[in-house]
Amino acid sequence: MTAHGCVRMTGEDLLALRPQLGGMIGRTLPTSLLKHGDEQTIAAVACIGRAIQNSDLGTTDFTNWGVLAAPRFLGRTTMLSAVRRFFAEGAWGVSPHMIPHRSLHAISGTLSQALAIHGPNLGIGGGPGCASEALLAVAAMVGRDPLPGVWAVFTGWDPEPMPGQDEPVGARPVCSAVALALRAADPSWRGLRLRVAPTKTRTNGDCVSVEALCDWLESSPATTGGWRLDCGGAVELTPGVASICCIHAKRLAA
Amino acid sequence: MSHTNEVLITGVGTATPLGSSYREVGDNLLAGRSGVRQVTRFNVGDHPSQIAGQFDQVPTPEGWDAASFGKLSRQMQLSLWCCAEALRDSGRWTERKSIRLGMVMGIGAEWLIAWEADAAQGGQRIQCPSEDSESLVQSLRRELHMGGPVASVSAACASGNYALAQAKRWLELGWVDVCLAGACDMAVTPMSLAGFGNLRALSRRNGDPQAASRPFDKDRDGFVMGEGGAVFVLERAETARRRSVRVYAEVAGFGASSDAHNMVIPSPDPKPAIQAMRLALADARVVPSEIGYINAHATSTPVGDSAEARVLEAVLGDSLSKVPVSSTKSMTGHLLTAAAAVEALACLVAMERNAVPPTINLHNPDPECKLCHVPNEARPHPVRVALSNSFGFGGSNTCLVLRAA
Repeated sequence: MTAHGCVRMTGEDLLALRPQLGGMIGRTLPTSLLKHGDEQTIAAVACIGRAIQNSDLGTTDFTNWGVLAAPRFLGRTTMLSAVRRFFAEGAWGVSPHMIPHRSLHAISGTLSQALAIHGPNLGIGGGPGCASEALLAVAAMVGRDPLPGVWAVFTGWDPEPMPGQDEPVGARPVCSAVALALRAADPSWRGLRLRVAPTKTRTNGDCVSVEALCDWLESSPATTGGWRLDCGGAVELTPGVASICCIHAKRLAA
Repeated sequence: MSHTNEVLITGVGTATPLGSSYREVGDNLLAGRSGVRQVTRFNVGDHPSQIAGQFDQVPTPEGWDAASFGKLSRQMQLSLWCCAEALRDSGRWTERKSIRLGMVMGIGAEWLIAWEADAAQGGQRIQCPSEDSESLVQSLRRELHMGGPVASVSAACASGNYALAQAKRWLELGWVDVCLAGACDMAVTPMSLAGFGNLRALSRRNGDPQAASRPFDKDRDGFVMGEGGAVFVLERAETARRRSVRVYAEVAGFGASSDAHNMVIPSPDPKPAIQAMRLALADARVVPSEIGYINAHATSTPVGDSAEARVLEAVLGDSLSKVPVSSTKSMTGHLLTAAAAVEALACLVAMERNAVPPTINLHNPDPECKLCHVPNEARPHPVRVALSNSFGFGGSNTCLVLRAA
């Protein structure tokens, strides 16, 4: 894993972020690109921006990379409004932007444009278990010639925002997004490693999710993180050798 | 030649506007029949486009209670039918619980369709996230007692090709013994017909449904939506040959790229789509002169068909005038997420019967689409290698190569 970025934002945060997204990824974005984009799409661009800012990928040309995006229940709130409008106004009330910007491929398609990626772009999952499905898909893609790297992006709300309903106390809707820049394994690599093992048996622990990945990556742990894949198997994130040494050295000094 | 890495198709399950078995769909494709008609399942009075490729009822798979099956969502019925039929066709049905059986399914708007269907019946599911506890692929895994991994993938209309490519890779990596792969889409719903209609993407030839889908024809005015799907059983050559089962074809190659241009409009620059086709040919180690048939993406939109013609011209070079090209969307309509899977099936039919399905309604070929067309009637032609192009919203370009095994 050559870079990673996480964001956790409320709807208001995401609204405020829209005009800043081009700057976050170091590119000029056409104004039309994100105009109709979902909030999860905004979060996806933002977490890639974080990943680029936190790494040395700022000057990388992503032309030949691939991008996978695994949203969870993309477009629920927009669909709620669209259904109401359709029942009230009929066919003419359905926005032509609904399908291109709220279907499963919408985030990966937008990211391919935002980063000028001409490799494959693919939406994965879309519902419960989407993180597991995306990890399987990306593990099958990484290292395939001619892909120098693949972005894997995970997004989802918890709890999901529901316009017109009272917000539960202490549970303000937060959109989490994680971007991982992945390349094929290299024995000399000393940074973070992602291992997806669909044939490995792992019965304990939680299923992997965008929130679990976010928690682990933000806490910079010294030990390997492990989760179950939704349909069996395991996924592990192993800290870089350099970071483990650094943490051990600090402990010794203390 | 070594068969170590070969991945073969050994089973097919399908339901489309042209039938609900491989044989029936094949017969109708080669007969040049249209499955497009007026939409009657819901009121289309104020829809700009009022026609679609449809079928009335998904057959109940053997072993299911018809009443219980009838209560499932149409998307679940279709997927279950296609998966069950594919497994039976491949002889893998009874052993499906004891092998590591995986599934990669192209599904593009699962939740939007589910929420719309529920709301149309007065439900509130869209406002109750806790009710959305199981995805379609998870439900299929449970219903079919599968033990392997599952995933749904979407690159819009290119989804089926990605599903086959992913499944092939899972087999190569040893993650599964056998893998179901394909795509199903029941997208002919009131809101999606309206959404695509308002996007001005659909044909408005409402008075003549069967003549509305006319890829490469100068008088085309947009695509016609369709519904259906196809699912294939994929397995490694060594296991297929050991079982001496019917082999439909080898999944020989795949290529993909992105336009990075627009979410809806194809790029005026043909290079990304050319790249996808060339990657697929290189992956399959095939040169243009070996291609026996190309199932074009050609949806019947003014911009898309001519853009694809330019791509084919660049990729085929000197073979352009010799390689038969047709668009079976002229008969099925555009099955959106399921289009690539059903068009892969059309390629299997062409290889099996050595006959190329036609592009119907092609009476006045667009001069910007100078291809080796197969207008209106099937053409006898030996097909050892078939290509299927599928491009999608989000700028996805894919090409699948199938080879007779």
